[in-house]
Amino acid sequence: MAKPAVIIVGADKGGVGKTTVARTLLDYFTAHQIATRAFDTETPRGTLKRFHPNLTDVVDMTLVADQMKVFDTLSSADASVTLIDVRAGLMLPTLKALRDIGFIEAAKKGQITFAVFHILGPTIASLDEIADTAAYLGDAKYFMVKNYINSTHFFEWDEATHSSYFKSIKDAVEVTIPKLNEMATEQVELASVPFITFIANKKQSGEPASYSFVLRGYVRHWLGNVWAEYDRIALTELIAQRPLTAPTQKVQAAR
Amino acid sequence: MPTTDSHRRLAAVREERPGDPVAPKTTARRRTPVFIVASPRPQVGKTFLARLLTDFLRLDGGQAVAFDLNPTGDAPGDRGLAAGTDLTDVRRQMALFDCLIVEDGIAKVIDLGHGSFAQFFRVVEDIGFIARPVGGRSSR
Repeated sequence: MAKPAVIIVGADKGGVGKTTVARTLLDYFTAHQIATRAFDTETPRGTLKRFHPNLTDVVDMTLVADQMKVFDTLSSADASVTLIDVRAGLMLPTLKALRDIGFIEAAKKGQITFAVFHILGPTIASLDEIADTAAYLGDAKYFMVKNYINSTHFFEWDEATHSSYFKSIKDAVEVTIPKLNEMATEQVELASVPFITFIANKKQSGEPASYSFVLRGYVRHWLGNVWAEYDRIALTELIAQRPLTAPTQKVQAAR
Repeated sequence: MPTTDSHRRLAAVREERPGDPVAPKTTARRRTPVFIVASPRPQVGKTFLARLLTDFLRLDGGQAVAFDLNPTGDAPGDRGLAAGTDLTDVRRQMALFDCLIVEDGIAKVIDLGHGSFAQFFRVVEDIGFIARPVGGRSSR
């Protein structure tokens, strides 16, 4: 059985597309039949919950009770993957809290799969976030996400500067989210459904909808490219990892 | 063509087919033929052929709608896409393709001007017009 996996999607800036990336991940896991639950930290009303109401709970990660709700249930939950959409400004506090409760240590010991999708903004300031974040990652799988969905130009990304930050995190992997045309983005927002449901031309209730064939085509094409990125980084293999067994336990098992 | 496991899963998503707003719900949907008269070259007789084809389809009470995608809009399209044929505009793409897929049994004839040739087929590729499994069918 795979060990519990926790995926954090976050950034210290707002408006860089955290929830969009979280939505593509939820769709990806659903398509691969990987049971997933999600937590939206945008209290009191979460955007992620609006799109994935059946999978998502809204939590306040600054409250111990909600931290317990998320992390004390990792092994007992039906879902093997727990995705947390961390709202702007809460990325570092969340990672600090994870360190304080021993979560980072548990991930280091191989008891939990821990991955961070860090959505980067277009300015040099977002590179500073990487350095701050690195201190709390432990052995987490770290994905640096350049999100072009809203036409962000990473014009300040001088290659040398970028590389110096990039190297500061062990095994960091870059992920690129391509642009989706504005009208398609807007229509999915208005529909308030998962991307895959929009493509299937259905409402949240499952009833047939009447979304534009053209826009559904663009969303399908775009989502295919996003998922190709997740395939490239072997996301399903990462999630399917089994827990590490301590050497003493192995010896006992052999007897 | 699907290239990864995820692409295959995405390609398998069935789309609800838009209904014909005119036909009663009890009427069985009729397949709608789409004819594209195209060439990347000018002055080869595309519009002439499109006119002949449209007239032929309208013989004996048949129904056909023509779409004019010529830069000057001089073809006899009864749903010409207004001045210019800039298919880079998503609204114009919607005006065209969202009409083409309606299963109303009315033949659609596209007179594709040479100036729109490349853009038209780029859009066809991007939105998966040929390959998408609409209503459970994998091609049209």
